[in-house]
Amino acid sequence: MTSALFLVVAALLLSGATYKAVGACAEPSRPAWAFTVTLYALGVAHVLRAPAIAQPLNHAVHAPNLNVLLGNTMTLIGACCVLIVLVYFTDPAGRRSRRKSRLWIILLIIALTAMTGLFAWSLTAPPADFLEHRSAQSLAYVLVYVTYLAAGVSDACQLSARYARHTADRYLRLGLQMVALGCAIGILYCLVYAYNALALRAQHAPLGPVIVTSAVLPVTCCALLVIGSTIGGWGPRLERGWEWWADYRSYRRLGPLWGALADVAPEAIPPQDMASLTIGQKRYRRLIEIRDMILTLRAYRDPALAAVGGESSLAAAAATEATVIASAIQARREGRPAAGGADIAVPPEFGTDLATESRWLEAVSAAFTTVRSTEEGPRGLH
Amino acid sequence: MDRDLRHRCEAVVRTLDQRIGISVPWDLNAFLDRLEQDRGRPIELVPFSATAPGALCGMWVGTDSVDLIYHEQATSLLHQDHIILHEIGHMVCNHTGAALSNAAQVRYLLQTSAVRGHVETVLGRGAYTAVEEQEAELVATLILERAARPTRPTRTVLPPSPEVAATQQRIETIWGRPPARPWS
Repeated sequence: MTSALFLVVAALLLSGATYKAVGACAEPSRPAWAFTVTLYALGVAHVLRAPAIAQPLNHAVHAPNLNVLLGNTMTLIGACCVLIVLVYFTDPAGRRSRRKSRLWIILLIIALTAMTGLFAWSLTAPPADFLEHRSAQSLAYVLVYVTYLAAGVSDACQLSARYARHTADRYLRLGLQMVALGCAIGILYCLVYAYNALALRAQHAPLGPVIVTSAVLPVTCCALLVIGSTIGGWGPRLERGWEWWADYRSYRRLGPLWGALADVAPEAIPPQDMASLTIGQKRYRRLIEIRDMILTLRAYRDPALAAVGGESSLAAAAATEATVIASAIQARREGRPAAGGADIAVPPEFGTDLATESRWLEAVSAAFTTVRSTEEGPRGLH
Repeated sequence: MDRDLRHRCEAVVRTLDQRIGISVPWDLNAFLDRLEQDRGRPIELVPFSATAPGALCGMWVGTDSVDLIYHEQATSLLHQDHIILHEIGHMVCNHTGAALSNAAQVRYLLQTSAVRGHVETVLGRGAYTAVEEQEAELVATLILERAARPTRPTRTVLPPSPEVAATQQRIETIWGRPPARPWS
Protein backbone atom coordinates (compact mmCIF):
# COMPACT_ATOMS: atom_id res chain seq x y z
CA MET A 1 0.00 0.00 0.00
CA THR A 2 2.74 2.47 1.01
CA SER A 3 4.83 1.41 -1.98
CA ALA A 4 1.90 1.90 -4.33
CA LEU A 5 1.24 5.37 -2.90
CA PHE A 6 4.86 6.47 -3.36
CA LEU A 7 5.20 4.91 -6.80
CA VAL A 8 1.96 6.44 -8.14
CA VAL A 9 3.03 9.92 -7.05
CA ALA A 10 6.55 9.25 -8.37
CA ALA A 11 5.03 8.43 -11.77
CA LEU A 12 2.99 11.64 -11.59
CA LEU A 13 6.07 13.69 -10.72
CA LEU A 14 8.23 12.12 -13.43
CA SER A 15 5.49 12.63 -16.04
CA GLY A 16 5.09 16.25 -14.92
CA ALA A 17 8.86 16.71 -15.14
CA THR A 18 8.94 15.32 -18.67
CA TYR A 19 6.05 17.60 -19.65
CA LYS A 20 7.97 20.59 -18.27
CA ALA A 21 11.17 19.42 -19.97
CA VAL A 22 9.41 19.59 -23.37
CA GLY A 23 8.48 23.23 -22.63
CA ALA A 24 12.01 23.97 -21.40
CA CYS A 25 13.48 22.52 -24.63
CA ALA A 26 11.20 24.74 -26.72
CA GLU A 27 12.08 27.88 -24.77
CA PRO A 28 15.15 27.21 -22.66
CA SER A 29 15.60 29.28 -19.52
CA ARG A 30 17.34 28.67 -16.21
CA PRO A 31 14.10 28.76 -14.12
CA ALA A 32 12.30 26.45 -16.57
CA TRP A 33 15.08 23.90 -16.22
CA ALA A 34 15.31 24.45 -12.46
CA PHE A 35 11.64 23.60 -12.09
CA THR A 36 12.03 20.55 -14.33
CA VAL A 37 14.88 19.36 -12.09
CA THR A 38 12.63 19.96 -9.03
CA LEU A 39 10.02 17.58 -10.35
CA TYR A 40 12.56 14.96 -11.47
CA ALA A 41 14.31 15.13 -8.08
CA LEU A 42 11.04 14.75 -6.17
CA GLY A 43 10.04 11.88 -8.47
CA VAL A 44 13.28 10.01 -7.82
CA ALA A 45 12.92 10.75 -4.08
CA HIS A 46 9.50 9.10 -4.09
CA VAL A 47 10.81 6.06 -5.97
CA LEU A 48 13.55 5.68 -3.33
CA ARG A 49 11.06 6.04 -0.46
CA ALA A 50 8.84 3.21 -1.74
CA PRO A 51 9.55 0.14 0.46
CA ALA A 52 9.37 -2.14 -2.59
CA ILE A 53 12.39 -0.33 -4.07
CA ALA A 54 14.12 0.68 -0.82
CA GLN A 55 14.54 -2.77 0.71
CA PRO A 56 16.27 -4.45 -2.28
CA LEU A 57 18.39 -1.33 -2.81
CA ASN A 58 19.60 -1.17 0.81
CA HIS A 59 20.21 -4.90 0.76
CA ALA A 60 22.19 -4.73 -2.50
CA VAL A 61 24.58 -2.03 -1.29
CA HIS A 62 24.73 -3.41 2.28
CA ALA A 63 23.86 0.02 3.71
CA PRO A 64 20.70 0.02 5.84
CA ASN A 65 18.55 3.17 5.42
CA LEU A 66 20.63 4.41 2.49
CA ASN A 67 17.38 5.02 0.62
CA VAL A 68 16.39 7.57 3.29
CA LEU A 69 19.59 9.55 2.75
CA LEU A 70 19.31 9.40 -1.04
CA GLY A 71 15.60 10.23 -1.00
CA ASN A 72 16.10 13.17 1.35
CA THR A 73 19.02 14.40 -0.74
CA MET A 74 16.84 14.42 -3.85
CA THR A 75 14.04 16.18 -1.94
CA LEU A 76 16.41 18.94 -0.78
CA ILE A 77 17.82 19.34 -4.31
CA GLY A 78 14.18 19.77 -5.43
CA ALA A 79 13.56 22.30 -2.65
CA CYS A 80 16.69 24.25 -3.62
CA CYS A 81 15.56 24.38 -7.26
CA VAL A 82 12.11 25.61 -6.17
CA LEU A 83 13.78 28.35 -4.13
CA ILE A 84 15.82 29.41 -7.18
CA VAL A 85 12.64 29.49 -9.30
CA LEU A 86 10.91 31.63 -6.65
CA VAL A 87 13.84 34.05 -6.62
CA TYR A 88 13.47 34.36 -10.41
CA PHE A 89 9.72 34.99 -10.09
CA THR A 90 10.17 37.95 -7.76
CA ASP A 91 13.44 39.40 -9.01
CA PRO A 92 14.62 37.87 -12.29
CA ALA A 93 17.74 39.84 -13.13
CA GLY A 94 18.82 41.59 -9.97
CA ARG A 95 22.19 41.16 -8.29
CA ARG A 96 20.38 40.47 -5.02
CA SER A 97 18.56 37.53 -6.52
CA ARG A 98 21.79 36.00 -7.85
CA ARG A 99 23.28 36.37 -4.38
CA LYS A 100 20.21 34.79 -2.84
CA SER A 101 20.28 31.84 -5.25
CA ARG A 102 23.95 31.28 -4.52
CA LEU A 103 23.18 31.37 -0.79
CA TRP A 104 20.51 28.67 -1.15
CA ILE A 105 22.96 26.47 -3.09
CA ILE A 106 25.67 26.95 -0.43
CA LEU A 107 23.16 26.14 2.32
CA LEU A 108 22.10 23.04 0.38
CA ILE A 109 25.69 21.84 0.17
CA ILE A 110 26.14 22.47 3.91
CA ALA A 111 22.86 20.67 4.74
CA LEU A 112 23.70 17.69 2.54
CA THR A 113 27.23 17.42 3.92
CA ALA A 114 25.90 17.56 7.49
CA MET A 115 23.20 14.99 6.75
CA THR A 116 25.68 12.62 5.06
CA GLY A 117 28.09 12.96 8.02
CA LEU A 118 25.34 12.35 10.55
CA PHE A 119 24.06 9.42 8.51
CA ALA A 120 27.53 7.85 8.33
CA TRP A 121 27.96 8.37 12.04
CA SER A 122 24.62 6.71 12.74
CA LEU A 123 25.81 3.55 10.92
CA THR A 124 27.75 2.60 14.04
CA ALA A 125 24.43 2.11 15.89
CA PRO A 126 21.74 -0.52 15.03
CA PRO A 127 19.73 0.52 11.88
CA ALA A 128 16.44 0.72 13.80
CA ASP A 129 17.88 3.46 16.00
CA PHE A 130 18.19 5.75 12.99
CA LEU A 131 14.59 5.27 11.92
CA GLU A 132 13.19 5.57 15.41
CA HIS A 133 15.38 8.58 16.23
CA ARG A 134 16.87 6.99 19.30
CA SER A 135 20.29 8.47 18.57
CA ALA A 136 21.34 12.13 18.73
CA GLN A 137 22.79 11.83 15.19
CA SER A 138 19.44 10.79 13.85
CA LEU A 139 17.64 13.67 15.56
CA ALA A 140 20.19 16.19 14.26
CA TYR A 141 19.84 14.69 10.77
CA VAL A 142 16.06 15.20 10.84
CA LEU A 143 16.32 18.76 12.12
CA VAL A 144 18.79 19.77 9.39
CA TYR A 145 16.57 18.17 6.77
CA VAL A 146 13.25 19.70 7.85
CA THR A 147 14.74 23.17 8.36
CA TYR A 148 15.92 23.41 4.77
CA LEU A 149 12.78 21.79 3.40
CA ALA A 150 10.47 24.03 5.44
CA ALA A 151 12.23 27.13 4.09
CA GLY A 152 11.54 25.99 0.52
CA VAL A 153 7.90 25.04 0.96
CA SER A 154 6.95 28.06 3.09
CA ASP A 155 8.38 30.49 0.48
CA ALA A 156 6.50 28.65 -2.30
CA CYS A 157 3.31 28.65 -0.21
CA GLN A 158 3.40 32.41 0.38
CA LEU A 159 4.15 33.28 -3.23
CA SER A 160 1.50 30.98 -4.74
CA ALA A 161 -1.23 32.15 -2.35
CA ARG A 162 -0.36 35.79 -3.06
CA TYR A 163 -0.35 35.57 -6.86
CA ALA A 164 -3.38 33.27 -7.12
CA ARG A 165 -5.48 36.29 -6.11
CA HIS A 166 -4.17 38.39 -8.98
CA THR A 167 -4.54 36.02 -11.90
CA ALA A 168 -7.63 35.97 -14.09
CA ASP A 169 -6.63 32.74 -15.89
CA ARG A 170 -8.88 30.07 -14.38
CA TYR A 171 -6.41 27.22 -14.67
CA LEU A 172 -3.37 29.15 -13.51
CA ARG A 173 -5.33 30.43 -10.50
CA LEU A 174 -6.46 26.92 -9.61
CA GLY A 175 -2.89 25.69 -10.10
CA LEU A 176 -1.44 28.34 -7.79
CA GLN A 177 -4.07 27.54 -5.17
CA MET A 178 -3.16 23.86 -5.41
CA VAL A 179 0.54 24.63 -5.07
CA ALA A 180 -0.21 26.83 -2.03
CA LEU A 181 -2.28 24.06 -0.44
CA GLY A 182 0.38 21.45 -1.25
CA CYS A 183 3.07 23.62 0.32
CA ALA A 184 0.91 24.20 3.41
CA ILE A 185 0.69 20.41 3.76
CA GLY A 186 4.47 20.31 3.25
CA ILE A 187 4.97 22.73 6.15
CA LEU A 188 2.70 20.56 8.28
CA TYR A 189 4.78 17.51 7.29
CA CYS A 190 8.00 19.27 8.33
CA LEU A 191 6.51 20.26 11.71
CA VAL A 192 5.09 16.80 12.41
CA TYR A 193 8.33 15.10 11.30
CA ALA A 194 10.43 17.33 13.57
CA TYR A 195 8.01 16.95 16.49
CA ASN A 196 7.90 13.16 16.15
CA ALA A 197 11.70 12.93 16.00
CA LEU A 198 11.94 14.98 19.20
CA ALA A 199 9.14 13.02 20.87
CA LEU A 200 10.68 9.64 20.03
CA ARG A 201 14.08 10.79 21.25
CA ALA A 202 12.41 11.89 24.52
CA GLN A 203 10.54 8.57 24.57
CA HIS A 204 7.11 10.18 24.15
CA ALA A 205 4.34 9.00 21.86
CA PRO A 206 4.57 10.40 18.29
CA LEU A 207 1.72 12.30 16.61
CA GLY A 208 -0.72 10.48 14.34
CA PRO A 209 -0.46 7.10 12.58
CA VAL A 210 2.92 6.50 10.89
CA ILE A 211 1.39 6.02 7.41
CA VAL A 212 -0.20 9.47 7.57
CA THR A 213 2.79 11.37 8.90
CA SER A 214 5.48 9.64 6.85
CA ALA A 215 3.63 8.79 3.64
CA VAL A 216 0.26 10.50 3.14
CA LEU A 217 1.45 14.02 4.00
CA PRO A 218 4.55 14.15 1.73
CA VAL A 219 2.79 12.29 -1.06
CA THR A 220 -0.21 14.69 -0.98
CA CYS A 221 2.11 17.70 -0.89
CA CYS A 222 4.01 16.52 -3.98
CA ALA A 223 0.88 15.46 -5.87
CA LEU A 224 -0.66 18.91 -5.39
CA LEU A 225 2.64 20.56 -6.33
CA VAL A 226 2.97 18.69 -9.61
CA ILE A 227 -0.70 19.00 -10.59
CA GLY A 228 -0.83 22.68 -9.60
CA SER A 229 2.33 23.62 -11.43
CA THR A 230 1.31 21.92 -14.69
CA ILE A 231 -2.47 22.35 -14.85
CA GLY A 232 -2.08 25.78 -16.48
CA GLY A 233 -0.71 23.93 -19.52
CA TRP A 234 -2.81 20.79 -19.82
CA GLY A 235 -6.04 22.04 -18.19
CA PRO A 236 -7.28 24.02 -21.22
CA ARG A 237 -6.39 21.12 -23.55
CA LEU A 238 -8.31 18.70 -21.37
CA GLU A 239 -11.30 21.06 -21.44
CA ARG A 240 -11.13 21.30 -25.24
CA GLY A 241 -11.01 17.49 -25.42
CA TRP A 242 -14.05 17.26 -23.17
CA GLU A 243 -15.92 19.80 -25.33
CA TRP A 244 -15.06 17.80 -28.46
CA TRP A 245 -16.43 14.65 -26.83
CA ALA A 246 -19.61 16.43 -25.67
CA ASP A 247 -20.19 17.86 -29.18
CA TYR A 248 -19.58 14.47 -30.78
CA ARG A 249 -21.95 12.70 -28.37
CA SER A 250 -24.64 15.31 -28.95
CA TYR A 251 -24.15 15.11 -32.75
CA ARG A 252 -24.62 11.34 -32.59
CA ARG A 253 -27.67 11.58 -30.35
CA LEU A 254 -29.38 13.97 -32.76
CA GLY A 255 -28.76 11.51 -35.62
CA PRO A 256 -32.00 9.47 -35.53
CA LEU A 257 -34.29 12.53 -35.59
CA TRP A 258 -32.20 14.35 -38.20
CA GLY A 259 -32.05 11.28 -40.45
CA ALA A 260 -35.80 10.66 -40.38
CA LEU A 261 -36.60 14.32 -41.09
CA ALA A 262 -33.99 14.55 -43.86
CA ASP A 263 -35.73 11.65 -45.65
CA VAL A 264 -38.92 13.67 -46.12
CA ALA A 265 -37.65 17.28 -46.12
CA PRO A 266 -34.22 17.25 -47.82
CA GLU A 267 -34.83 20.72 -49.27
CA ALA A 268 -34.17 22.23 -45.82
CA ILE A 269 -30.56 21.01 -45.83
CA PRO A 270 -27.97 23.20 -47.54
CA PRO A 271 -25.89 21.31 -50.13
CA GLN A 272 -22.72 21.51 -48.05
CA ASP A 273 -19.80 19.18 -47.71
CA MET A 274 -19.53 18.98 -43.93
CA ALA A 275 -15.99 17.57 -43.94
CA SER A 276 -14.27 20.89 -43.29
CA LEU A 277 -16.55 21.87 -40.40
CA THR A 278 -15.47 21.29 -36.81
CA ILE A 279 -17.49 18.81 -34.76
CA GLY A 280 -19.03 21.75 -32.85
CA GLN A 281 -20.17 23.33 -36.13
CA LYS A 282 -21.50 20.01 -37.43
CA ARG A 283 -23.53 19.57 -34.26
CA TYR A 284 -24.82 23.15 -34.52
CA ARG A 285 -25.78 22.61 -38.18
CA ARG A 286 -27.65 19.47 -37.20
CA LEU A 287 -29.69 21.40 -34.59
CA ILE A 288 -30.56 24.18 -37.04
CA GLU A 289 -31.41 21.74 -39.82
CA ILE A 290 -33.70 19.79 -37.48
CA ARG A 291 -35.45 23.04 -36.58
CA ASP A 292 -35.76 24.01 -40.27
CA MET A 293 -37.18 20.61 -41.15
CA ILE A 294 -39.66 20.76 -38.25
CA LEU A 295 -40.86 24.11 -39.65
CA THR A 296 -41.12 22.57 -43.12
CA LEU A 297 -43.41 19.88 -41.71
CA ARG A 298 -45.50 22.33 -39.73
CA ALA A 299 -48.56 21.97 -41.97
CA TYR A 300 -48.52 18.22 -41.30
CA ARG A 301 -48.47 18.40 -37.49
CA ASP A 302 -51.58 16.84 -36.00
CA PRO A 303 -53.23 19.23 -33.47
CA ALA A 304 -54.97 16.28 -31.77
CA LEU A 305 -51.64 14.59 -30.97
CA ALA A 306 -50.01 17.84 -29.87
CA ALA A 307 -52.91 18.55 -27.48
CA VAL A 308 -52.03 15.42 -25.52
CA GLY A 309 -49.01 17.40 -24.21
CA GLY A 310 -48.81 19.77 -21.27
CA GLU A 311 -46.47 17.46 -19.39
CA SER A 312 -44.05 18.97 -16.98
CA SER A 313 -41.18 16.51 -17.26
CA LEU A 314 -38.65 16.76 -20.06
CA ALA A 315 -39.03 13.12 -21.05
CA ALA A 316 -42.84 13.30 -21.27
CA ALA A 317 -42.83 16.57 -23.25
CA ALA A 318 -40.17 15.18 -25.58
CA ALA A 319 -42.20 11.99 -26.09
CA THR A 320 -45.26 14.03 -27.13
CA GLU A 321 -43.19 16.12 -29.55
CA ALA A 322 -41.58 12.96 -30.98
CA THR A 323 -45.03 11.43 -31.57
CA VAL A 324 -46.20 14.60 -33.36
CA ILE A 325 -43.06 14.64 -35.54
CA ALA A 326 -43.36 10.92 -36.40
CA SER A 327 -46.97 11.44 -37.44
CA ALA A 328 -46.06 14.58 -39.45
CA ILE A 329 -43.37 12.63 -41.30
CA GLN A 330 -45.89 9.95 -42.17
CA ALA A 331 -48.48 12.56 -43.26
CA ARG A 332 -45.91 14.28 -45.46
CA ARG A 333 -45.07 10.94 -47.12
CA GLU A 334 -48.76 10.38 -47.78
CA GLY A 335 -49.27 13.99 -48.91
CA ARG A 336 -52.06 14.80 -46.44
CA PRO A 337 -51.56 18.03 -44.45
CA ALA A 338 -53.33 18.19 -41.09
CA ALA A 339 -56.32 20.48 -40.76
CA GLY A 340 -55.20 23.66 -39.00
CA GLY A 341 -51.65 22.47 -38.20
CA ALA A 342 -50.36 22.37 -34.65
CA ASP A 343 -48.01 24.76 -32.91
CA ILE A 344 -44.41 23.71 -32.56
CA ALA A 345 -43.78 22.85 -28.94
CA VAL A 346 -40.69 24.30 -27.29
CA PRO A 347 -40.81 24.25 -23.48
CA PRO A 348 -39.91 27.76 -22.28
CA GLU A 349 -36.79 26.67 -20.43
CA PHE A 350 -35.31 25.08 -23.57
CA GLY A 351 -34.08 26.41 -26.89
CA THR A 352 -32.63 29.62 -25.49
CA ASP A 353 -29.00 28.72 -26.14
CA LEU A 354 -26.96 25.94 -27.65
CA ALA A 355 -26.92 23.84 -24.48
CA THR A 356 -30.66 23.91 -23.76
CA GLU A 357 -31.61 23.55 -27.44
CA SER A 358 -29.35 20.56 -27.68
CA ARG A 359 -30.75 18.99 -24.52
CA TRP A 360 -34.31 19.36 -25.76
CA LEU A 361 -33.74 18.04 -29.27
CA GLU A 362 -31.57 15.16 -27.98
CA ALA A 363 -34.48 14.18 -25.71
CA VAL A 364 -36.89 14.40 -28.66
CA SER A 365 -34.48 12.34 -30.78
CA ALA A 366 -34.26 9.65 -28.08
CA ALA A 367 -38.05 9.60 -27.71
CA PHE A 368 -38.41 9.50 -31.50
CA THR A 369 -36.32 6.31 -31.65
CA THR A 370 -38.67 4.73 -29.09
CA VAL A 371 -41.78 5.88 -30.99
CA ARG A 372 -40.32 4.49 -34.22
CA SER A 373 -39.47 1.10 -32.71
CA THR A 374 -42.94 0.90 -31.11
CA GLU A 375 -44.60 1.69 -34.46
CA GLU A 376 -42.49 -0.87 -36.30
CA GLY A 377 -43.09 -3.53 -33.64
CA PRO A 378 -40.71 -6.22 -32.47
CA ARG A 379 -38.28 -7.41 -35.14
CA GLY A 380 -39.06 -10.72 -36.78
CA LEU A 381 -42.85 -10.54 -36.40
CA HIS A 382 -43.43 -8.61 -39.65
CA MET B 1 -18.29 22.52 -48.78
CA ASP B 2 -16.56 24.83 -51.18
CA ARG B 3 -13.31 25.86 -49.46
CA ASP B 4 -13.43 29.33 -51.04
CA LEU B 5 -16.94 29.84 -49.69
CA ARG B 6 -15.81 28.86 -46.23
CA HIS B 7 -12.74 31.11 -46.31
CA ARG B 8 -14.84 34.00 -47.61
CA CYS B 9 -17.36 33.57 -44.79
CA GLU B 10 -14.67 33.22 -42.14
CA ALA B 11 -13.11 36.47 -43.36
CA VAL B 12 -16.51 38.21 -43.22
CA VAL B 13 -17.11 37.01 -39.63
CA ARG B 14 -13.57 37.97 -38.58
CA THR B 15 -14.03 41.48 -39.98
CA LEU B 16 -17.43 41.77 -38.31
CA ASP B 17 -15.94 40.70 -34.98
CA GLN B 18 -13.14 43.26 -35.32
CA ARG B 19 -15.51 46.07 -36.28
CA ILE B 20 -18.40 45.60 -33.87
CA GLY B 21 -17.52 42.62 -31.71
CA ILE B 22 -19.52 39.40 -31.46
CA SER B 23 -20.96 39.23 -27.96
CA VAL B 24 -19.95 36.26 -25.83
CA PRO B 25 -22.18 35.36 -24.05
CA TRP B 26 -24.52 35.89 -26.96
CA ASP B 27 -26.82 38.92 -26.81
CA LEU B 28 -28.71 39.54 -30.05
CA ASN B 29 -30.04 42.97 -29.10
CA ALA B 30 -26.62 44.30 -28.13
CA PHE B 31 -25.19 42.88 -31.35
CA LEU B 32 -27.90 44.51 -33.47
CA ASP B 33 -27.42 47.86 -31.71
CA ARG B 34 -23.74 47.86 -32.60
CA LEU B 35 -24.47 46.76 -36.16
CA GLU B 36 -27.01 49.58 -36.59
CA GLN B 37 -24.41 52.09 -35.45
CA ASP B 38 -21.81 50.62 -37.76
CA ARG B 39 -24.09 50.63 -40.81
CA GLY B 40 -25.70 53.96 -39.92
CA ARG B 41 -29.15 52.44 -40.60
CA PRO B 42 -31.80 51.19 -38.21
CA ILE B 43 -32.66 47.49 -38.20
CA GLU B 44 -36.19 46.43 -37.29
CA LEU B 45 -37.20 42.89 -36.42
CA VAL B 46 -40.62 41.80 -37.67
CA PRO B 47 -41.78 38.45 -36.24
CA PHE B 48 -44.30 36.44 -38.24
CA SER B 49 -45.70 32.95 -38.35
CA ALA B 50 -46.19 31.05 -41.59
CA THR B 51 -47.94 27.69 -41.78
CA ALA B 52 -47.94 26.97 -45.53
CA PRO B 53 -45.57 24.22 -46.73
CA GLY B 54 -42.40 25.67 -48.31
CA ALA B 55 -42.91 29.06 -46.65
CA LEU B 56 -39.96 31.34 -46.00
CA CYS B 57 -38.80 31.45 -42.40
CA GLY B 58 -36.84 34.66 -42.72
CA MET B 59 -36.56 37.63 -45.03
CA TRP B 60 -34.54 40.82 -45.31
CA VAL B 61 -36.24 43.82 -46.84
CA GLY B 62 -33.96 46.79 -47.34
CA THR B 63 -35.72 50.10 -47.98
CA ASP B 64 -34.12 53.50 -48.53
CA SER B 65 -34.28 54.23 -44.78
CA VAL B 66 -34.45 50.99 -42.81
CA ASP B 67 -33.51 47.29 -42.85
CA LEU B 68 -36.45 45.06 -41.95
CA ILE B 69 -35.74 41.51 -40.85
CA TYR B 70 -38.77 39.23 -40.93
CA HIS B 71 -38.34 36.07 -38.93
CA GLU B 72 -40.45 33.06 -38.06
CA GLN B 73 -41.44 33.19 -34.40
CA ALA B 74 -42.97 29.73 -33.98
CA THR B 75 -39.63 28.13 -33.19
CA SER B 76 -36.95 28.12 -30.50
CA LEU B 77 -35.16 31.35 -29.58
CA LEU B 78 -31.84 29.95 -30.80
CA HIS B 79 -33.38 29.14 -34.16
CA GLN B 80 -34.97 32.60 -34.37
CA ASP B 81 -31.56 34.16 -33.69
CA HIS B 82 -30.06 31.98 -36.41
CA ILE B 83 -32.72 33.05 -38.89
CA ILE B 84 -32.07 36.72 -38.04
CA LEU B 85 -28.31 36.19 -38.36
CA HIS B 86 -28.83 34.56 -41.73
CA GLU B 87 -30.39 37.82 -42.94
CA ILE B 88 -27.58 39.78 -41.27
CA GLY B 89 -25.25 37.48 -43.25
CA HIS B 90 -26.81 38.78 -46.47
CA MET B 91 -26.28 42.36 -45.28
CA VAL B 92 -22.65 41.98 -44.30
CA CYS B 93 -21.83 40.00 -47.45
CA ASN B 94 -23.40 42.82 -49.52
CA HIS B 95 -25.77 40.48 -51.31
CA THR B 96 -28.06 42.22 -53.72
CA GLY B 97 -30.82 39.68 -54.07
CA ALA B 98 -31.62 36.44 -55.83
CA ALA B 99 -34.92 35.21 -57.19
CA LEU B 100 -37.35 34.42 -54.39
CA SER B 101 -39.27 31.22 -54.79
CA ASN B 102 -42.22 32.40 -52.77
CA ALA B 103 -43.35 35.72 -54.20
CA ALA B 104 -46.89 35.43 -52.81
CA GLN B 105 -45.65 35.18 -49.23
CA VAL B 106 -43.28 38.11 -49.73
CA ARG B 107 -46.12 40.26 -51.08
CA TYR B 108 -48.31 39.23 -48.14
CA LEU B 109 -45.63 40.02 -45.54
CA LEU B 110 -44.84 43.38 -47.09
CA GLN B 111 -48.53 44.31 -47.18
CA THR B 112 -49.33 43.20 -43.65
CA SER B 113 -46.38 45.02 -42.07
CA ALA B 114 -47.01 48.19 -44.08
CA VAL B 115 -43.42 48.76 -45.18
CA ARG B 116 -42.58 52.42 -45.35
CA GLY B 117 -40.32 53.85 -48.07
CA HIS B 118 -38.96 52.44 -51.30
CA VAL B 119 -38.05 48.74 -51.21
CA GLU B 120 -34.50 48.22 -52.55
CA THR B 121 -33.56 44.66 -51.51
CA VAL B 122 -35.58 41.55 -50.75
CA LEU B 123 -33.80 38.35 -49.70
CA GLY B 124 -35.40 35.37 -48.02
CA ARG B 125 -34.35 32.24 -46.14
CA GLY B 126 -36.09 29.20 -47.55
CA ALA B 127 -34.03 27.11 -49.93
CA TYR B 128 -30.28 26.98 -50.40
CA THR B 129 -29.81 26.63 -54.11
CA ALA B 130 -28.16 30.04 -54.55
CA VAL B 131 -24.57 30.58 -53.43
CA GLU B 132 -25.71 33.75 -51.65
CA GLU B 133 -28.02 31.65 -49.45
CA GLN B 134 -25.22 29.24 -48.60
CA GLU B 135 -22.94 32.15 -47.74
CA ALA B 136 -25.52 33.78 -45.46
CA GLU B 137 -26.22 30.44 -43.79
CA LEU B 138 -22.55 29.78 -43.11
CA VAL B 139 -22.01 33.29 -41.74
CA ALA B 140 -24.90 32.71 -39.28
CA THR B 141 -23.44 29.32 -38.35
CA LEU B 142 -19.94 30.70 -37.74
CA ILE B 143 -21.25 33.53 -35.56
CA LEU B 144 -23.73 31.64 -33.43
CA GLU B 145 -22.01 28.28 -33.00
CA ARG B 146 -19.23 29.93 -30.96
CA ALA B 147 -21.18 32.80 -29.39
CA ALA B 148 -24.18 30.76 -28.16
CA ARG B 149 -22.09 28.28 -26.18
CA PRO B 150 -22.71 28.76 -22.48
CA THR B 151 -19.73 30.54 -20.97
CA ARG B 152 -18.28 29.97 -17.54
CA PRO B 153 -18.42 33.05 -15.34
CA THR B 154 -15.04 34.74 -15.41
CA ARG B 155 -13.60 36.21 -12.28
CA THR B 156 -12.84 39.90 -12.40
CA VAL B 157 -9.53 40.78 -10.85
CA LEU B 158 -8.32 44.26 -10.07
CA PRO B 159 -5.54 45.36 -12.41
CA PRO B 160 -2.30 44.51 -10.56
CA SER B 161 0.58 46.92 -10.06
CA PRO B 162 3.29 46.74 -12.78
CA GLU B 163 5.57 44.87 -10.39
CA VAL B 164 2.92 42.26 -9.56
CA ALA B 165 1.95 41.97 -13.23
CA ALA B 166 5.57 41.29 -14.21
CA THR B 167 5.91 38.60 -11.53
CA GLN B 168 2.62 37.09 -12.62
CA GLN B 169 3.87 37.00 -16.20
CA ARG B 170 6.99 35.11 -15.10
CA ILE B 171 4.90 32.63 -13.06
CA GLU B 172 2.75 32.06 -16.12
CA THR B 173 5.84 31.35 -18.25
CA ILE B 174 7.00 28.59 -15.91
CA TRP B 175 3.76 27.24 -14.40
CA GLY B 176 1.23 28.28 -17.03
CA ARG B 177 0.73 27.30 -20.68
CA PRO B 178 3.91 25.85 -22.19
CA PRO B 179 5.29 27.49 -25.35
CA ALA B 180 4.59 25.79 -28.67
CA ARG B 181 6.93 22.91 -29.45
CA PRO B 182 9.77 23.82 -31.82
CA TRP B 183 8.65 21.23 -34.38
CA SER B 184 5.00 22.28 -34.45
